[in-house]
Amino acid sequence: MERKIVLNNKLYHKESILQAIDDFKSEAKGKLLDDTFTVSLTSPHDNIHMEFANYVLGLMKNNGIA
Amino acid sequence: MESTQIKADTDSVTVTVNPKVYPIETVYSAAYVFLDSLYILLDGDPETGISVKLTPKNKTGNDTMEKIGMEFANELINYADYRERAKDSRKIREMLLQRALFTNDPASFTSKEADFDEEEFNTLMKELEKEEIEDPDDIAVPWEEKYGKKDSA
Repeated sequence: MERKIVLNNKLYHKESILQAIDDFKSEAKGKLLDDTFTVSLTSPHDNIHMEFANYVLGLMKNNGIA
Repeated sequence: MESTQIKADTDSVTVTVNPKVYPIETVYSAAYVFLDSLYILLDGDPETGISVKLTPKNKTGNDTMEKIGMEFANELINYADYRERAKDSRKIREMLLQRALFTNDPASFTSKEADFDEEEFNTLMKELEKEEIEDPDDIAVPWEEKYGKKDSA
């Protein structure tokens, strides 16, 4: 099932999103669609897109960006 | 714009935050607290208004959406206060670090660091000591003062 999530580029860090796509590659196919950070995820899990958004926030914290 | 608005829905709640009251760093800090229990989605503009959509991961919990929103608002206050205090005590922390470094290795103290003002440091320390500390369990009270001197065997 394909799910899309739009992450606001004023609040989410692009490098963290790219890293998250890489980290999710075993669970989901993800790609960055445009500069508004629309991420498309293909996975059988229902809430994968929400988990993805949480994961990006966690990465931003760990990387000291936010 | 009000400082915080909470709009509860059936399965999520949206908290709208005024960034002039709670800057984006405070919103991030509050969001991290709930990463384990909620799905969090940030939107809006860090200059004009930030909206935080909170969706519980576990829907069997008894917390209402409004309560979740209020808890997030409390966390905003908590981190805003923490940041203000950190800003206020920054100079004291820097001076304490300078003094610790100077005590351990005075030779490494460069001319730039020699601007260290002993008098200012002492004034700040006195101000800090004057500040009332909440101690409801009397943890800061010495043992002898609390229970009297122990008889020597």
